[in-house]
Amino acid sequence: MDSVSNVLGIDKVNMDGKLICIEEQHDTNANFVLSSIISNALKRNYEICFVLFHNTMNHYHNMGTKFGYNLTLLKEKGKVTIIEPMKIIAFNMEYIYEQTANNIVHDIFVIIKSELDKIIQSNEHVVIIIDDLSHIYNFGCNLKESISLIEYYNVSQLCVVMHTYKDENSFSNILTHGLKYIAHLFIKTEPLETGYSSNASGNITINWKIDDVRIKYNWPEIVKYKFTHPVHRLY
Amino acid sequence: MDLSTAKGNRIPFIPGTKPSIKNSQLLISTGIPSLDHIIGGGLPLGSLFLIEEDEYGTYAKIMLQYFMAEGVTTAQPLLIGSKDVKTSRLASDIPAVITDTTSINQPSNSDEQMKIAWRYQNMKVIDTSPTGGQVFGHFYDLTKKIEKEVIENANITQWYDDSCPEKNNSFNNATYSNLLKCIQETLKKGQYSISETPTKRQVLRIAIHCLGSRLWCSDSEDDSCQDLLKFLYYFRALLRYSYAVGVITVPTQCFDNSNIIAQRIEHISDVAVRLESFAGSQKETNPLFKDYHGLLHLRKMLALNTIAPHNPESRDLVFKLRRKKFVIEVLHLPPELSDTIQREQDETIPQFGCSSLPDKNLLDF
Repeated sequence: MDSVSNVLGIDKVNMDGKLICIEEQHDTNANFVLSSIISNALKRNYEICFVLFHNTMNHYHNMGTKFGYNLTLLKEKGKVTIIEPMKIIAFNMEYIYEQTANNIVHDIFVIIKSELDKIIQSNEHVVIIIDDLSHIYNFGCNLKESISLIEYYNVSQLCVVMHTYKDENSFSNILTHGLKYIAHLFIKTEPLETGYSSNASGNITINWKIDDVRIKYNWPEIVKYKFTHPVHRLY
Repeated sequence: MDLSTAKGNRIPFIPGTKPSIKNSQLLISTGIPSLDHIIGGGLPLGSLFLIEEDEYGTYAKIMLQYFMAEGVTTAQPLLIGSKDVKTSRLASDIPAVITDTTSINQPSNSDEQMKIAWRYQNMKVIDTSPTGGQVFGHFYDLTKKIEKEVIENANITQWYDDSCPEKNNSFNNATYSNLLKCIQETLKKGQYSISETPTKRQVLRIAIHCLGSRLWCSDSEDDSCQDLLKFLYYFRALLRYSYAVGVITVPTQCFDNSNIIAQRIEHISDVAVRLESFAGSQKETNPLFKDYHGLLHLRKMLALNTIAPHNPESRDLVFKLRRKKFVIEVLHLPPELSDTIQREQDETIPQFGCSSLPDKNLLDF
């Protein structure tokens, strides 16, 4: 995945205290960007706090084995902390369908907060990765709460994935617009306008928003590439 | 499914499943072998399969019944939920399995003598995944209903609710809460959770028919969508940590903002197909589609345990309902020189013989 890190530029720039926003438009899969961010963080010996709203730990573990890191092993070593709201929901379902919606959101956030505090205390360099923050809308969270959540997270290096749709007024699109302004690096994956193609999976847009970095490396403000999932051809 | 927290590292052997080599998952069949092949072998345990219904819901219901039939045939427990149709009726309408395999596998004599053109000879893809010495996926006869005794002996849990819903704490419409409760209790009772170690491991098939339709009686469109998304997210979470597979049919066309809601639901599900039937549409009379009943759109493909979604060989798929079976095929254009039917775009009739002008009579020498 070095080439992806290289294209994004995250292998050169010190990402401490910076916010990466990944907009994953419907019909694309931005997992490959996440994977390169994880590899990069591990190379720099950062600790990772991984909040998984969309998929299970097992999914990322299997994905990681193809790119040279073993999440389960790293978790045992304490390098990676995994918070799985889905698991919390699944194992507390009895309480959930009787509780109010806000309580679940609240409970999950309390758990995330306490885990996060533990990591930040012990280590300076932490990357917080949230895979698919747009899911919090599904369990009844509103815009205000999600913005305050991001403000709270934004203590260290933060990487947020948002899944967006073509409808401009949806919750995740509004939140992504907001994030786009405060993000230092904004990455967008879009499906091809012409529909499905076997040679390319989609467009990726990389937008560095810090002038100093761009001048130093002589990068343009917005770069666009086509990406394809090479895994297709392995099988 | 998250096997990392399951006790024991070895993937357990469960009847009616086969392991997938591609992504270290256990798969179960949808009941339609051709569909299994398209989505990459079958449905992995812990996944959610979404069928976006055709306009009248006819074909989506048949697909759901195939899924239930496969469960009954492989002796897997089943949970059926519906608010539109009585679940007892859904259960009794399950098609019977074709046990006589010779009629399917052996082509008739006339076929044997026909040679396939050499360039098409290698087109058929053979799925070489190990099935553990069992048949994976069966064929069913839609004209025959399953026997009553079989239904009575099968492990089927039914959820049918015809009450008028109220509002409760977590949902605007308590029906979703009830269904969630039913699913959770069934999963608990049968020890399907990955943290449990029952003596006999089984896979629960959960089939929910017409989820979120008008009969779910939500007060407003917003309420309905909010509840539906919340329910699906919780359902996904439950599935991910249990030995269960969910198949839902959703009438997405009933929603005002149908496209956006459909996309949101697709994002929560793992595999999504949309059925577009030709009934009542212009395509019904289009000679291009004369052999078929509708289009099958692949909306989302499996991307579990990999970074890239599964890539089927063809995306132009059609379905047709024969008297005995429901078939999903790759769309082929009809041959151009067929005897009487002309494609719409062909304005002139091709002429043979000595005539140079196409409009002349055949016998005009």
